[in-house]
Amino acid sequence: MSAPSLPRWFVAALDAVISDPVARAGLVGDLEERYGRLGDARALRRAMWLLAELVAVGLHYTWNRDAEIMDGLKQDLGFALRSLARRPGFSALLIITLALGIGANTAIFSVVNGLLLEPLPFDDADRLAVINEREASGFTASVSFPNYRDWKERAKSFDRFATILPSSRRLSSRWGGSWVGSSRRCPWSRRSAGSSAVMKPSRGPTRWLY
Amino acid sequence: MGDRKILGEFEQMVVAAVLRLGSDAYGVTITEVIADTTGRDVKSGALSVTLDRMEKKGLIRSRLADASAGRGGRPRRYIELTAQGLLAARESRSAMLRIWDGLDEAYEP
Repeated sequence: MSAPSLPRWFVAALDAVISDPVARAGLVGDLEERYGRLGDARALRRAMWLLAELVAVGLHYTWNRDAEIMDGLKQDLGFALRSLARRPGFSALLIITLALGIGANTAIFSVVNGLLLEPLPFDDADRLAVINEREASGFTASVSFPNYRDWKERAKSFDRFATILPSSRRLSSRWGGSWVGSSRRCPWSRRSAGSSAVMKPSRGPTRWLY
Repeated sequence: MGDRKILGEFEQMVVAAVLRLGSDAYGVTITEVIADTTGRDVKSGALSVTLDRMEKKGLIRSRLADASAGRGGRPRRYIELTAQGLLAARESRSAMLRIWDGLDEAYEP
């Protein structure tokens, strides 16, 4: 009875992982020789052997090419995990601190990103301006409609004028609901943004502009 | 001497196995020597990638020869130490002996 030989799929997997022809020829030959020595071992044992060798090749040839660096990393990682396991209370505190820190940073960045970094969902957003009136007391106030109409007809510093009325709406569905920002009657944005929605949220559930 | 690097644990095993095997050092025989002397089950993939690394560092050189039917018609990758590899082996062994020297009573039961 002839010795069993490696399955084709196994050899094909090795060919795909190992690029160096000398290393590949030597390794496949070694594996072929060792596999042949398993003789008439049960199919399950042969399958387990193949799996173990394939995992070893995959691990070493994909993750462990620069083994000196990886050895150091693995040692550091193992040491860190063992240290954490020895002190579960400290580890829990560490994980909670990290989770809170990462969560807070993510939340803050989401706000900063949405308000300051992401461009507004309109063309020429850098040319948009919000105009308010200032009362004698110093407080900022909304523009009265007659003033808006006068500015729209006579002002020469702006291409177009539009009004918005900020408000919020609650969107509900069978899965729950949330408050979203909205505004009404904004013909300029309808033309400029090419959208029939005055404040069409393009990202995320909530977007304010006023 | 301070700049000389000591070989890693597995590299030392490979070097020692190659020295034991002489001209018959290739993947299968190296794994057998390591298994016989240390009881460690060495996967061929682990050995192969270590040999690649040691060859890049100039510690060993390899050549393909002896394609045979028992290996699916594939050649053996014979390994031999370079002068640099031999020097590294000597340094590593000396360092290990020095660090263990005089400690017999410390770990003897």
